[in-house]
Amino acid sequence: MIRRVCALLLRELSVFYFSPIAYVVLFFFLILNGLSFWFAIALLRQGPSELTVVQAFFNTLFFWTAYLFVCPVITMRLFSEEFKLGTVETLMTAPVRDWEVVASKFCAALLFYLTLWLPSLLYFLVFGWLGNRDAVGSGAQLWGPYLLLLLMGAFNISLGCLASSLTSNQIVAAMMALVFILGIFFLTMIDYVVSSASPLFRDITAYVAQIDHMDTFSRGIIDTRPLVFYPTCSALVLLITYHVFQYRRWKA
Amino acid sequence: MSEKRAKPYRIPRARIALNVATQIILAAIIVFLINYLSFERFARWDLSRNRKYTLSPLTRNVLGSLKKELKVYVFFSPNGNQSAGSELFEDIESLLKEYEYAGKRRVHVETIDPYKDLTRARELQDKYKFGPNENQVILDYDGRQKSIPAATMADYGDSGLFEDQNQTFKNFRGEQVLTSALIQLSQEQPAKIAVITGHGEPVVNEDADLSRFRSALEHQNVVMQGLSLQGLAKIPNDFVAVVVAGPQYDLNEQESNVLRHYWDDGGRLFILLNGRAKTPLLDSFLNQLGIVPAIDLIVTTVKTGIEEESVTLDVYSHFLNSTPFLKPMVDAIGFLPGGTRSIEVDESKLKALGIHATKALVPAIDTYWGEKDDFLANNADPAFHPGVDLKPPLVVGWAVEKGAVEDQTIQVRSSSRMVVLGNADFIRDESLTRSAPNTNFLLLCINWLTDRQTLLAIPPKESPIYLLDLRPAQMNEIILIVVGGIPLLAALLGVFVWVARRR
Repeated sequence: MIRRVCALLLRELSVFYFSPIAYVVLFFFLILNGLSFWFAIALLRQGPSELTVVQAFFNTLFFWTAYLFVCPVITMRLFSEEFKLGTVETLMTAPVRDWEVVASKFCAALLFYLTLWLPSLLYFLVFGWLGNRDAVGSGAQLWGPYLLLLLMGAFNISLGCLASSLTSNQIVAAMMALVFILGIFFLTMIDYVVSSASPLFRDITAYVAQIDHMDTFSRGIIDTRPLVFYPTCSALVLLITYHVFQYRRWKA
Repeated sequence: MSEKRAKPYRIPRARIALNVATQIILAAIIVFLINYLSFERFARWDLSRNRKYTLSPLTRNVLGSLKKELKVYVFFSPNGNQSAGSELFEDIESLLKEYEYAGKRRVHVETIDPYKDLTRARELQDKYKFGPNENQVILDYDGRQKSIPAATMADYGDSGLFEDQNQTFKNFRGEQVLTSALIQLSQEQPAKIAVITGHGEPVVNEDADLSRFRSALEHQNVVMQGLSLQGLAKIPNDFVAVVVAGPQYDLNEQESNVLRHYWDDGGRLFILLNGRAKTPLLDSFLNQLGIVPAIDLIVTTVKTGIEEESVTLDVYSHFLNSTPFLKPMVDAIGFLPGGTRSIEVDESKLKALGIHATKALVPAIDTYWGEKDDFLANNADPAFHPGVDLKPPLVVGWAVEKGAVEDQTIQVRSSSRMVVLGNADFIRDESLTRSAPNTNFLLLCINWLTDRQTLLAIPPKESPIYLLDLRPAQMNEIILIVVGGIPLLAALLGVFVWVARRR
């Protein structure tokens, strides 16, 4: 079973990493992230501040733009392309289980997502190397946001997988994924709009609020709630994706 | 003989669909239950530098013991950058978030943004009587309220008087202040303060011009009650402090003696001198304690035209951090309208009596002088006469204490305390509306006099302030590496893969 999953994962990874498109995405994504970092330190340079560079970097509009748009781009072709090119028939008749296909595609997308984000760690190294180590904050203030980024990314990728499994058109898949991701993201905003809501309502919106989660983790606070919320929801969405993928098998 | 082939059994689609739907619903229920548990029982670890967001056990106990809902309103003015305490907004928000988590839904924090919800902002301003330019936190618990000026939640570094207004924010002590206020609201009876009557003082509970003063004290859970000293042997014990609010007529001997005994017994006095009244016995009472109110009125000239000047009695003044409880206000400017007397001290008498006096308020610029002529009665234009009039530096307010315990964490009412101010009109609505720091000053004085300043054993949190020390050349290096170098490496890798695949 492990061998089959590894083979499928390698197949998916080779599609990602042997395609020049992936490097074009990586190139532009890194430019956007670089600018985000540069703006963060330009902002902090204006005067004394209590914000660390990590807080400034992970709570900017640039960061959220990159974060929200990258997952639909990564996942749009995962299943739709197979449906469009007809290779899904080969895949479905191959001696692999459907859940192995879904898991391998999800893991490959997640690894590529990490490839996009990990270079940003270098920014903080460069920054520390230039003599401002203190302004990066504590160790947890650095690894906390990356841990959260991994979990939030996994959830968004699972939503992207689901969207891609629903259609054979990549653009439609990307749009659907974007709607799913933005829909959940904007749930966060309810708390900002309804100022005199009840404490329970505020707690519920705070439970799913990605901006709040990132703010908390970038301050160096590790909260167990996002650590439970994102993995369980990702698992649920992947289960739905698996059934949508299987639907092609039993609908005929 | 023909063998009949068995028809392959085909599961009806509807049954498959039902099976799939059941699986998904069950999985959703499991996910919901796991998240419900996680929502109800969660943990937070503060791994920040200095453990800045960790609440003290005392605060956790207080929040855990709340029986009713605590409403907390955070109001920061849209002109926040110019208002005292504006730099604390992030800290206060983060701290209150921790209060919400620790309060387990008994704490409801509402941040009012006048840009977003002007109606709500006005509604709360009307309810809690505060101005649009004041940054403050209001606690409302079980019908009792307490307003906390944001600037009181921090310690600031020293800054030179009359020099630049920027002072360094050192420690954040929001938890001390908020928990202290919460304990008062949830456990204490309202503090009763006597306001002396019978000498033409404003009637604080009726005078329409003192509505802001009244509401400011009500929001500190303070009740004011008029008290005539006539025929009284001593100030009743149920009053925690006594206010002498600018008498127009002097006290008599007996009244002066009552005040003296009250002071000697560890009393707390807030004395506002009326700049336009002659009160020799009140002055004499102060003189006995080494406080010497001058017989003057502080004035200065202001330009009213290109070559025209006029004299003003309005005094703009600085709060001094030599008085510890005024530290949060050292960058603020107070406004003393109507007529202000300067006050000196007799150092040798203070020393002999074991009284410690600190300057609280001084005129903000050194063009003010103490005019000795009774120019108001004579209807004359005042002018500075060297050797006769008092030249700067002048002092208009003192904080005086006798028998203080050095250890700030010991909460015993052991000392006599007094705030003396050479102005009585600053408590009027006109002044409190015009100058938000006046209200803060008033609240700080009352809190100090009634032992309500934060004596809790919650240490202030040091706020690390980062100032990026990057030269323009280093900024260029950073942009070169992060926007140029790293993406270029990725692009080169892409080109390498592309070339390798073509081969």
